Amino acid sequence: MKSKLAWGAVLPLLVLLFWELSAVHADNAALVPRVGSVAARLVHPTADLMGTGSFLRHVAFSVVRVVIGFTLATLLGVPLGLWVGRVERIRHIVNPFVEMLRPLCPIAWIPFAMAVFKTTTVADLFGFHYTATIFGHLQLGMLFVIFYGGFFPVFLNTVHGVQSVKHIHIEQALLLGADRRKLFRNVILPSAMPAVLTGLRVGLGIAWMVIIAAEMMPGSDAGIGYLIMYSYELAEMDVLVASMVWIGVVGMALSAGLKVFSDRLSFWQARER
Amino acid sequence: MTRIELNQVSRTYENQRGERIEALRDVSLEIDDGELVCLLGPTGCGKTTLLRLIAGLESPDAGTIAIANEQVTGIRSDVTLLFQQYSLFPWRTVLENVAFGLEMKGMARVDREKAARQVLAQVGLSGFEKTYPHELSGGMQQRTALARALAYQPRLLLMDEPFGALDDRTRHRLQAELLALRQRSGQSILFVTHAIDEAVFLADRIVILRDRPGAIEAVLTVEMPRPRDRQSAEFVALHLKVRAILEGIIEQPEI
Repeated sequence: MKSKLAWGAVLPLLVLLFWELSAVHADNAALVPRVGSVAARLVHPTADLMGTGSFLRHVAFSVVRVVIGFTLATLLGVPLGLWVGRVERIRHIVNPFVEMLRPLCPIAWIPFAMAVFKTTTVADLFGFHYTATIFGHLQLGMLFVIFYGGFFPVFLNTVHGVQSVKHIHIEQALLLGADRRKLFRNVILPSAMPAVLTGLRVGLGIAWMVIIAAEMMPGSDAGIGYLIMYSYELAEMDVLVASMVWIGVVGMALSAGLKVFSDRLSFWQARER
Repeated sequence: MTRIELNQVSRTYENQRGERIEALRDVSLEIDDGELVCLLGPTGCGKTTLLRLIAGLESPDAGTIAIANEQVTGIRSDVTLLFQQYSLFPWRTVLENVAFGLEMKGMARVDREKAARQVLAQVGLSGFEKTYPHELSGGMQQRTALARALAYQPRLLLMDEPFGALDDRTRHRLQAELLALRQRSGQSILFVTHAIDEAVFLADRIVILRDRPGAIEAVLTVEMPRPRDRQSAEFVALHLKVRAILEGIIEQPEI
């Protein structure tokens, strides 16, 4: 175990070394920041950055946007996927449309979403814009692209999960007295659950990438993607690189959080053939 | 009365190349209440099809099937089928698997778990209630499936080569357990197997099918008292007789 950790640390240490050497060689903090200056930013997550607030504030905005947009994607994607997976006729109606939209990268939607939703926020929608709450920073356009990015993996994996329920399990349940409703609840749903959770993991990963891109667009006022763009404009490269580290860490945390949850729900699948 | 009557049942499939395969032709058979009938025959003789028809999973193209004087039109709540393997729900514990049928019937948790524990004890799986199927050996999985079918208390139990994938020792134990359990519950059993030894050991009556098309070749009543001794002259004689009939089927030239 210890030696595994040691081996795993080799590459990151080499990268850090190469980075530090390049920084010393470039000798220009506006181009390549020193490792130490980035680390100094990282150890103060609550310190104000360029008058825009702290890392924690920006991360919080990004995370809340992703959580809301992705929750909407899940609330629509899972039930719709269960329905489409179960009913062949619905599948014939929905599939061509989905196959048309699916290859359309969510990032391509960002300018369109910005144009349609402008800078309208959730606060505007409910008419309490002039009190400063987090809702004033939840732009509908951003929520839309997160929703779009998260929806397809969730939906498609759910459909796949429902369709790969073993026939023998369905027949066995019917032969033990299950009616349609009980069959769905006791066989289809638990059978499809591992695939649904895979969809959630993939979807959340995509949503987290999409939000960073969305926050880089004009009209954005907060969030970790915004912080990256803003520090780029002010040539604050140490903040920029520290923000990148934050993106990686938060993305990993989101994925790990969902994994704990999903391992608990689909523990049985690991040993199944 | 849970008498099963098959009257001139035929079933034809179309395979992927569009050829018509006659799985069963004019099969007529009666199974008495509480009788244990073994279906024996070469691979592809329609044994499984026959079970699926009786279970109501499929319908015959011609002929009728009646259980307790009622036409079979679909799955019935007093009939269940035990598959060859891999039919346990992997997301449920052994206890939850065994209680499944009772849960579907709407029995309260306390009652169905009590009943499931009793059946588990009967098949020798006490102590494995909280275990998941993937943690069990093949024999124990099949025993759990048997317990699940028995806990459901069907009046007719259809079994499709349930012990086929098991080693001899486990199979012999489960055969003995099945007979003991039937003694108590008294349901009718239609048991499909390809092992002559198994049929001779278990059956009140052995029905031998031939293939292409699947049809009844012979019906033998087994009068031997139980428990049957596999080494006895009577057992061996019947074994040889059944084997001779089966070999006759296989050696027949194809039409």
